[in-house]
Amino acid sequence: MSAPLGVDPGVSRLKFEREICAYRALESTYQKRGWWLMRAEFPEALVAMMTTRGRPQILAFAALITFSDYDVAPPSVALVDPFTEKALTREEVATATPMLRRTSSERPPQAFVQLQGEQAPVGVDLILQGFEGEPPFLCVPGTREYHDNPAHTGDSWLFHRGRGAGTLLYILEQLWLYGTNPVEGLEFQIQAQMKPRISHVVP
Amino acid sequence: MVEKAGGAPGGGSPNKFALTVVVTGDPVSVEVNINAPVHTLVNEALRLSKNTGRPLPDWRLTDEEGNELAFDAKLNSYPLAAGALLFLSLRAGEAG
Repeated sequence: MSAPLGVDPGVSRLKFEREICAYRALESTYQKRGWWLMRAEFPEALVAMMTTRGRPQILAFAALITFSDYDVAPPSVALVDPFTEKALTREEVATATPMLRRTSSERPPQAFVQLQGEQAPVGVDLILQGFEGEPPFLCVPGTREYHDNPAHTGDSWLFHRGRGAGTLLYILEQLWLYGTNPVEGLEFQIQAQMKPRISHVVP
Repeated sequence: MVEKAGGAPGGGSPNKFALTVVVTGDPVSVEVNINAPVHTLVNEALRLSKNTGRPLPDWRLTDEEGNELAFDAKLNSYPLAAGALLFLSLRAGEAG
């Protein structure tokens, strides 16, 4: 996607505030989903995403959503540490939630990931894309990173603009549906190792 | 399974009740027959919210807990009370 001409910040701010107002109107509902709007200062909204099923709840990550040049350009989404706002790597996000998605195809691609146990849900990790050790991007239409990616040049943001994608709620719902909502708790594994205790060494 | 609210205000049909559907962040109130299929509610919510540019399969309807409602199921097969909050949003799509 070529760089936009640049939107009057006043227009983007107005649309940003409209998104925030719509969120605030149903904030108590979103709070039950584990969403916490930590900060909303144009052009950025910082929303912490927490798991709500099981105990203890997990503060999985925060989504830093940037609405500059909105909505000629879609919002930019980064998954960050909620305390430092440092971008998380793909592995760091996966420690809290693997962000898996079922596909309708009979043969999942090579990125097939199977969780422990035969009864565990099976999915593929297509929602987050990125290289190992680097911050991933949310691979859904309606995000700047998706439409700027060379693999998606045929799927312009302008096909989606104003048709449901690329709003604050849409982005948060994807992060919740595939990220924090399916998480039911933590699984602890303890590995015991037999190790002889040596009182002295024989010469 | 639907809890009937005793009809719409003013003594309307006992089979009709109003649900609130949040379409891409904006809530709309939709009055439907409890015996109607879910896609009736979805189509009306999209019409009221002026989101008619995408085909029906592109959308997903969920309750507050994120449970998806099947479009071909009847509304009365779900535990919906009058005024219940539902969310209608686009599916993320297949490709990564």
